[in-house]
Amino acid sequence: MPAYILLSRLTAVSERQILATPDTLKKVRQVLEEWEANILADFHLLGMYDHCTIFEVSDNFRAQKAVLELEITRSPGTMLLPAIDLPLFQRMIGQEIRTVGPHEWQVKWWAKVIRLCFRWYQYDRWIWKYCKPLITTGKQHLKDIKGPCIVIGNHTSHFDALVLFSCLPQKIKWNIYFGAAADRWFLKGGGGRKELPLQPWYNSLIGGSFPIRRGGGSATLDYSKWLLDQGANLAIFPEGTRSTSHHMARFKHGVSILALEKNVPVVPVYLTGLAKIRPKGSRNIYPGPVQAHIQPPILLPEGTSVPDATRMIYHAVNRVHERVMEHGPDAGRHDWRG
Amino acid sequence: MATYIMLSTLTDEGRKTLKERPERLQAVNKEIESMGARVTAQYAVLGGYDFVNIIEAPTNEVMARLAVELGSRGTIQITTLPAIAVDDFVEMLKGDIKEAG
Repeated sequence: MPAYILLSRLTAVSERQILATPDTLKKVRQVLEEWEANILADFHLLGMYDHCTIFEVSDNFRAQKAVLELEITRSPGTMLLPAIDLPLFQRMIGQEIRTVGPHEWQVKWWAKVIRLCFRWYQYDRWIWKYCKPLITTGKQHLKDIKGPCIVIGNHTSHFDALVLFSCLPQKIKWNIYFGAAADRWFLKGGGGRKELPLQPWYNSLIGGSFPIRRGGGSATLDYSKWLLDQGANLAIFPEGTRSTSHHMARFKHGVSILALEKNVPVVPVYLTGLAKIRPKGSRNIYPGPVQAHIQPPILLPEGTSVPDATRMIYHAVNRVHERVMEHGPDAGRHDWRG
Repeated sequence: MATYIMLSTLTDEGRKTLKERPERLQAVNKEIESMGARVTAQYAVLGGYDFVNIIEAPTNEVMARLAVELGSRGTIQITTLPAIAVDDFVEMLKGDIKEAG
């Protein structure tokens, strides 16, 4: 979650209030927490600023709204500074940030044939080695899908994409493309790593993935729309990044925008067991049982707003997530009846 | 240990050094420790400053020495603010009010 640093100066009114009731200072925390901010540190200062609060919140909008609610910050000279964790900043300075792609040639027949030839190397050998066993349920939900669709999954591990791909029937697999973080998988020259100079091309051709820029923006979805126009299927993890908590992160709006604009079904697949196989932040891989539960496709009614559509999709996946959290992996099956 | 917020802005020379040798950031932290202080949190920020550092140091004198030492290299301009945890500050204010009453 992004961090922010709020440096504020007290107005004369605020100072009088604080002297009368010192607990007023703690209100800063309360107001920020009402906006779902997580307070990391909170100081009173001597010098050119009076107060410093370091907090995490989901985005700039929330940070700004929360700060606007604070009486204490209404004096001139108050600053809200978006902060970047220093090790990340250091990595960013040291590495290539220009990205490559998307590569439209990845939908050509010859690219699909090459991908098919590499399927064992890219996907199946990992599944065979580490997913012991891989149980897939709900394939019948995909029988009636004729045109392109958007397959979505909960995201806890780099292994998710492999399992999501493996659990799908051949007719969808043949022509499916994965959205992948541009700043992670599509850096020019592999981001300067000598062993990965062709990484973006490899990911486009063999991995069947395409770059998605973090942070949204209308141009982000142009290539996804183009893929759907070509009759291709998309696989997207709408949480945007791998989740480490027991709660699913909020969904980004991209899937809803695409599904509404192109009128295609959204197929949720709930994946379990993968966070233990390759946990976020770990390079180790441990074998273990994995389940992929394909849920019924969601067709968004015409005229649905994007936020409502995102909510609808989120609730469909979150219902399964809560069942699994309570009753275990088998509860992810669509036909599970307790 | 007292807490200080150090707001720093890179000079042109500092930007060049950082671009060429990002690992300098960690080396500076080690130097700070060798002077008897400790960086407890550190952020690169967008806005009026480039970095916000939270530093623990035993006295104002150590902190002043640190600021001069780091500033003398010509790579950053520093503003150092003594900080008090808000809970402690609130307690202190309540104490004062009781005494006055």
